[in-house]
Formats: sequence, structure tokens, C-alpha cells
Amino acid sequence: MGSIATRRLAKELRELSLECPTGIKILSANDFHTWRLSIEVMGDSLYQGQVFALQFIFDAQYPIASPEVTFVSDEHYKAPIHPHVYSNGHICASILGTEWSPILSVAAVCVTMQSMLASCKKLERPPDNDRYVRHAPKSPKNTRFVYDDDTV
Amino acid sequence: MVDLPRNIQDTDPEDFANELLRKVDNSLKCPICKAYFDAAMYSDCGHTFCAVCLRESLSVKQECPICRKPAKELSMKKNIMLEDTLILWQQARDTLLTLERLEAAKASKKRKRSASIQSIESDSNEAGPSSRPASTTVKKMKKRAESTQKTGDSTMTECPMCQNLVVEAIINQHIDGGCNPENDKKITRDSQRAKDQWSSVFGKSAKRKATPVKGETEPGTLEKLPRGSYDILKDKDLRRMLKEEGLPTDGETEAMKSRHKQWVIFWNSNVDRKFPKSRETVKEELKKWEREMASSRRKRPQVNAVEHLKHHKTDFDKLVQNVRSRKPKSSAAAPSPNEVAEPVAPPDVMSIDD
Repeated sequence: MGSIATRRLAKELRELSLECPTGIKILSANDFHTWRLSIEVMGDSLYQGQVFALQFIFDAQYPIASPEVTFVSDEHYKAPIHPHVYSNGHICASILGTEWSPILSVAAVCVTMQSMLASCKKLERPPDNDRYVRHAPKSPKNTRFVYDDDTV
Repeated sequence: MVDLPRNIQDTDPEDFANELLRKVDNSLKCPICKAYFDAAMYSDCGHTFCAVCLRESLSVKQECPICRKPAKELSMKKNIMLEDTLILWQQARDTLLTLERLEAAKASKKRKRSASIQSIESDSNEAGPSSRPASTTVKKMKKRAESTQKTGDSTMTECPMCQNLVVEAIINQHIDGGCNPENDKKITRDSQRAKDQWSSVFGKSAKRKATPVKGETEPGTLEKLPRGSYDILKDKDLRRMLKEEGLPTDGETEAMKSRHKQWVIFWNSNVDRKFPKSRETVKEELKKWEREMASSRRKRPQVNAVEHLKHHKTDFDKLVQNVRSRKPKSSAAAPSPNEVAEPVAPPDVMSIDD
């Protein structure tokens, strides 16, 4: 792990443990490689009462390189049904790909995901869900997403 | 004082209980690495980052990480004033922290005491006893801070004759010279010259600039490196370029490329420092960087081919069966390549290939 990555993550973790944005909780952050946070959409939304888990995987280039962010899909958590979230948990969001900026943080990503879910109008999977999930690489960072929806 | 390693500078922002002080403290930190600015630089939009952080970010994407306005490495400029502010802030920080803690301690003591006072004499006045003792400690602290700062020969004192402020060390010559400010300048110059002569005799330089402290290089003497056009360079050229910089030439092409790339980032950012580090120090940093990148790569989950085969044996068998059963009419409908390819190239393997 790069020393800058480690130090920045240590700082982010300290800030998160002091004050997490509303609806966001740390599930596990035992190292500087993989973190899990739970997110909940506050207020009126299609996801009322549902709790999701986001998984962050960092590499040594963080924050210059984006973290690998997915919704956890296992026996405890399910990926939200959303036009930009594939059933394997991969997320099609520009800030996790080409629009990543090193000033963004774990908290910023969580909040963006919250607002992405909050603004959802219809519970549905992406149109190419089955095809994508069947052939998806393990890391969504190896997928070249096309960001065609600016409304979210 | 000036060039502390970044991990020492990197103190916890939560040290300040006061929110505003915490914000001031954070405003002197790089939005990318969240440590105090190391050679603060900005591009056309004016957003400031560490020299290394901004260079690395621009090498990935040529835009300001904050406002996304187009930005180029060549348009990067030093934020000298901010660096000076940062140095002063770091000096003042400890004093502020001590003051804050003292006041917090006083306040909690006071609360206890004022509670007992109130129980004895209920008609205590409104101003309350809480404000005075705290402010006296503030004054005391300030005084102490002042007296420690007044070392060296720059302490000013009031001349008993002309009431002007004069450097204390030359006050006698000042009065002897008839309180003439022009005369003072000459005295200062002379005393400095004398000092320099003495120090040259004793081998102790009074001026910091004359002999840079170990690990630092005199600013203004270093030159920046151009970035290589790595995509068209051959291994031979890469090796020569690395050799010219005194860097190791081992490893694969990609390793050499990224080594040289990172060296240019580290070195050029070092040139931007107010007090650049020595070449050897930057080389050490590069070495450390390379080690970290390598260890991070190794951490990626490795797929054991044998294990994988065992784990998916039933899937493979099924597929083989599938294909065999179709074989007779293969001329009619060939198996879809996807169905076959999927389990053979599992997600794990694909991600490693990438």
C-alpha cells in the first residue's frame, strides 16, 4: 500500500468514525485494502427501509486512482434494484470511472450513491443486466461503461 | 523546521477543539493527500495542491481535480505566500494548542469552583469569575512566546534618546552615532560582515543559505526534467534515460517506463520545493514508491489454476458433456462460443489479465 494512500485512508477513517454522513455506517474497515459501509436512503424514496452495503477496494494509487466500488450482493445484502446497478453489484456511475477526481473520498462516494438511489423513479435493472453479469470482469474498473444518463 | 518529513507534519486536525481553528488547519492541507501542503502549487484556476499530488493527478487527467477546468503541468505555478503562511502556522500551532488546552482546563476548574461559590454567596455579580484567570494565562503564554521568539540579534528596543525602535544589539553604537538611522544600517552591515568573517574562521556558517543543511539542496540550482514520450521509446532509450538520472535499469519495459515517469514527477516537484531535498533523498523516495507499488500488486488475489479446476470441475464436465452431445449435429448448430468460454475464463482470471 502506498504511504499516501495509507495516510489518506487513515484520515478518512478517523473522520468517518467521528462523524458519518446521515444514513451511512462503517461495517468493516480493518485494513486499508477493503472497506464495507452500509447505506440507507433517508426520507421519501423507493428504497425506504432497505439497507445496502457498499464495498470499497483501494489500491496503492488511491486517491489518484479511483477505488473499486460495488454493492455487496451476498446472503446478507442485496444490490439495490436500480437502472444503474447490475445484479452482481457493479455500478455504472461516472464518478467511479472516468469522472473520478482525487479530491473525492469514501464519504463523497457514499453520499453520491445515496442521492443516486434517492432520485430513482422506477425499480428496474439496467436493460443489459443479464448479458453484462454473465461476462462481467471481477472488478467493475475493468468494464468500460458508457455513461448515457445525465439525469441521475 | 521547514522541511519536516510529511508524516511528522501530518498532525491530526482533531487536535483543535475549536471548529474554526480546525478549519483553518485543514485549509492548509492538500485536498488530495490531506497532509500539509508540500510545495504548494496551483494551475490556471487557482486551486492549490502539493506539487507531487497535482503532477500525479495531471498525468492521469489534464484538469483541475476540484473544478475540472483544463489544466496542464506546464501552467503550474508555485504558491509561495501560502507556503510561508504554512510555515508560520506550523510554528504558531503548538502555541495555539497549548492555549486551547489551558483554557479548557481552566474552564472546567472554574465551573466547579463557580458552582461552589454560588452555593456560598448566591448574589455573585454577572461578569462572573470565569473570564479573568483564563485571560491572564493567555497573557503569560503570549509573553513567553514573545520572549522565546526574541532570540538572535533582531530584537527591537526603544532608544532612550530618540525614542525610535532600534535593533537591541546595536543600541550602543546607535546612541554613539548620534541616533542617525543611516548610521544604523552601516553598523548592521559591518556587524554582519564581521560575523561572517568570524564564522568562516571557525567553520560555522551563520547564513543558512551558504551551506544547505544535509539532505537539502540550495534552491535555484536544480533543473526540471522533461517527460519522456514513453510510448515510442525503445528499451534501449529507456535504459539510457534511466542511466542518465542514475536510476536502476532493471525490470521489464513497463517497470522502467513507470520508474522514469514517477522520477520526473518526484524530481520536478522537488525542484518546486522551497528547500529542495538532495538527489539521494528523492531517489530513496522513488525506491520506496516502487516497493509499495510492487507489494500492492502482489496483494491482489491470485488464482490457483489447479484449485480453480477442482472447484469448477462439475461445471466443466457438464459443458464437455453438452458439447459432446451436440457433436453429431455440429454442422447444423455450433455451440455458442460464449457458453464455452465463460467458465474457462472466470472473472478472477480476467481481472488479472487486465
